[in-house]
Amino acid sequence: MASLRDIKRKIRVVKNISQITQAMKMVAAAKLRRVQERVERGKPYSQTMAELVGTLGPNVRGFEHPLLAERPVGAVGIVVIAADKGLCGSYNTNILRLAHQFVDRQMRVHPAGEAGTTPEGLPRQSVRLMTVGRKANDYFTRRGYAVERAFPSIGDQAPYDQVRAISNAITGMFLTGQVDEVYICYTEFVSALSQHPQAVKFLPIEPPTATETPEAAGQSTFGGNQEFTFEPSAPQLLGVLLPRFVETRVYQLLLEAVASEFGARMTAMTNATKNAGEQIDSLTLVYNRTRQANITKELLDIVGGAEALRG
Amino acid sequence: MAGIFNLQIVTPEREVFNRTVRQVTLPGMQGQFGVLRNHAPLVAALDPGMVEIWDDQDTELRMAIGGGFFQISNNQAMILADSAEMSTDISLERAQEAERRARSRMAGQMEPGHEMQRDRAEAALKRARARLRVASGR
Repeated sequence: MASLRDIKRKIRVVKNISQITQAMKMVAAAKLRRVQERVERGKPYSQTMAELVGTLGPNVRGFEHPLLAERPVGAVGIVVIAADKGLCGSYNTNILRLAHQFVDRQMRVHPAGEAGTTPEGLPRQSVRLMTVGRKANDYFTRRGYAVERAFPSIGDQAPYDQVRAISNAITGMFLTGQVDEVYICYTEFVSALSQHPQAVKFLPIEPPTATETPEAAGQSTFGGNQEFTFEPSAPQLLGVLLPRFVETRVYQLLLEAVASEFGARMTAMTNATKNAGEQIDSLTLVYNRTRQANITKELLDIVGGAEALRG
Repeated sequence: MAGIFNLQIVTPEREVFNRTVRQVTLPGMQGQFGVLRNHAPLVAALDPGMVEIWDDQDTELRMAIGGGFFQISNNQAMILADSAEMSTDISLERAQEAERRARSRMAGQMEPGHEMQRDRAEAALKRARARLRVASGR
């Protein structure tokens, strides 16, 4: 059996761990709140943006834009969004497992030989990988996948120029004809306790005209049923609007992934703190038992010695 | 009171401005234009440039925006800007520095085959010039 000193040391260690996990839980909670605030503050922009696309859509018929171009699919781009750090429960594991399966499936569907060539005549890779978050890059690099570009996670600060860089890289590989479709693997934020990893088709964008009927567009808070003047013309406006529309979508997905990360970390750290507490309890019990056993043993020794002297 | 309408300026990151104003001048893609109360419903694309606002106290406010969109109907105006900064928040020295950098980058992209980089450099230069103009009060 372990000595009293050993048990005491162990209790102290577990106590320290629980203090750390408790602190990490608080930090994760605070950061989650900050990210949620960011989502809220970005809403007026993204909502009006969506409204604008809805207002413009019905005014534009037979509209073509590089970001809407449906091409026969020979090569796909996949963006995987995970965290920079661990200690967030199964957050990274879940999204990376899903992404890994998704990548392998795409590789089977689009064999390397049939990817065709780039506009410059170079052979195309059938699957191009981009990662956001160090864990995603580590995961795929370690397994021998070629990661085309790796970005760090945007974190709770979520600086918009970093978002723009990521967005430009994503649209870039689509617009230059390196890939014909882009998918994003990210973790949907359902609540602080529940997150849902998934892969969504990102490019080409679904044409806004297909989803918006003229009636629906007329009901926007701005529109009423009024006739808008467009300056420049509606197709030209839509042309400058779409790249920004894509950018805000990237921003939303990234923020959602970060919110999920902090939610998962908060849950993980709450559990860790609880487990540490339980361990302290059981260790304290062992400690007291051992102490009692020692006292009893000493008493027996003393009594035995006294008996021997008397006898 | 007559002659005022509501103006909201939002960026992807936050709401920058939300007040009643008397007049606003905007850097439209097809030229600068001004907006007063009861303007006809309009959607316009904006270039990087200066937004001048006269609020309900007739105080003039200047703001640098990095391109975006403008929408007005029913005296509700909204600017969707890529970025927006109040003139008082821009440091003149840093704006000058940024303008110099943008200009030198532009000069480095003049040979053919760099159209995309050149477009990007040109947009950066436009933004830098707008900020500089707003900061220096001209």
